Amino acid sequence: MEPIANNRKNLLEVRNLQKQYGSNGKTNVIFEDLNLTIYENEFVAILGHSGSGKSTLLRMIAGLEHIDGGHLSIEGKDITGPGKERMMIFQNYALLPWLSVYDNIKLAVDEVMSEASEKEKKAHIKEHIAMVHLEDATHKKPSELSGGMKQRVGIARALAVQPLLLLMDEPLGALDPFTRAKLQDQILELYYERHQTIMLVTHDVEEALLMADRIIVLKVDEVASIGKVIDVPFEHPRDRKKLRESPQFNELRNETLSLMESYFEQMQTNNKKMEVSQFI
Amino acid sequence: MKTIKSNTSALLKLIILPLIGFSILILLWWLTANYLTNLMPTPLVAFKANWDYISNPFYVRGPGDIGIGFLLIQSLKRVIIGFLLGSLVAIPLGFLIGLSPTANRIFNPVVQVLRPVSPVAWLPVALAVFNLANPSAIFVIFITSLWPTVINTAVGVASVPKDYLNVARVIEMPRWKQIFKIILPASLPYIFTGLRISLGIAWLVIVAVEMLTGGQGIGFFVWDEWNRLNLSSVMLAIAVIGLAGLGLDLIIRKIQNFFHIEQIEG
Repeated sequence: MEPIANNRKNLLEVRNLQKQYGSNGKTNVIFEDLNLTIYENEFVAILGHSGSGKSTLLRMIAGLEHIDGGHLSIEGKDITGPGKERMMIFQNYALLPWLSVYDNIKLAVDEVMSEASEKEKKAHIKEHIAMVHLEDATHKKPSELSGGMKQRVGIARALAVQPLLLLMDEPLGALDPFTRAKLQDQILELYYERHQTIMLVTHDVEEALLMADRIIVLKVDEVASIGKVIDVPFEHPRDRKKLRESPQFNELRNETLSLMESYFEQMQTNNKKMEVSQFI
Repeated sequence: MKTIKSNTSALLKLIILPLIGFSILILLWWLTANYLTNLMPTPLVAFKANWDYISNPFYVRGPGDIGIGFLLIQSLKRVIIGFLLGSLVAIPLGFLIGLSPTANRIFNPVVQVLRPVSPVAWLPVALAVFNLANPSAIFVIFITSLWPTVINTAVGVASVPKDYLNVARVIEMPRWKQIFKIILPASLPYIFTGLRISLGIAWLVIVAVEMLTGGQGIGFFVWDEWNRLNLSSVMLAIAVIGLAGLGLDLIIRKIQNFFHIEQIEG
């Protein structure tokens, strides 16, 4: 069922991860002891309701947020800060508005292929623009592109860096459902073609089930933790229409939705209790 | 039909309505000249008296009798030199304040205390140091040009979207490169806003400075003509100063548009 089910190689290891935020004297513990392994060539979705810490987790893996304990490693090497082997795709695209599509990608390529000749770089950039079908927009500025096109630039830029691990922080969150579906398919295609290891943060159950090999559902009691791990039983390549008609898919979707709903309610009652205890 | 209609409305918007505004201004002038003071000429009398200046702005008939065009150039020169020197200091200083919280704590209080001081108050200090009118005037313009550019640059640098910097961090771009490739371009709209405000105030201040320092310049011309009770020339100078200021602002806007830098309207 999974591409390489048996001799899976560990790519990313999260061990005893701790994270807390301090605000006006109070420390707010987010993660206390989180453990997680991501395998090579795997597509993992981190699923959670808002406030479940899923973006924080991804940003810590990206190195954009510091950790308060435990350790993170990729290919056995400790993660101490941001690095180009863990490229991030941002929800609001994070394209530089004064640069064209080509130059936005070049900015990243210049950093990671500093040894390469200009000609090689140019070919590399062109190849990645073609990969997301944006040849006609090569010299356009981000302001001239639609949201879906902007995120395709974001994806092209990230893949041009050739990361070991691609981190996506709700990359399709700001898009309409149809553009979203189209981009989901495109991301899957890239996943098949390049055997890219991907971590996707999302709150959309259907998106997670459609795309991921494994879903990690986060829940929040006092702190955030892994509530459930779902091995998605559907064969790749996946066809969204067929899946929607499959009873197994619908069952799994409804089950996961109810699970997330119960996690969300749990968090809210916990929050209320905490508010009450503060007043007493 | 439609095109004719839109043509007339464009004509109305661009020419007729502004003309109404100026007509009201001239009417107020005329009322003032006729009923409130007898030192002031009516618009028509002033125009006739100024005809020599207007038709022949560049003449030299002696050290104290120079065409208004030359006087304007003298003032512009001071403003531009002072402004450029000021910007040369203000932009890097703004960068430093925007980038480093420590630098912010060191310099921000100084900026906040000095910013409300009328730049003209620096004139005696400058005169004491330089002993000459012209460098002193330029120094006052230098001071004038500092604050808006420092503050706007610092705000621009500090408000570069976090995600732009996160992208740079993820691709492991060195810090010095981030400054030139990301922070500078992202804060250019703010820097230009600062420059425009600075230049605008510098042009206001130069008139006052020249009134005090004397010499050649449009500001001293205003004061000199008042001392001769020649208000026609004063009215002309007001118009010339206004148009020149507008021109300066337009030049900065054109530079900004040329480099496709977004305008922050304030």
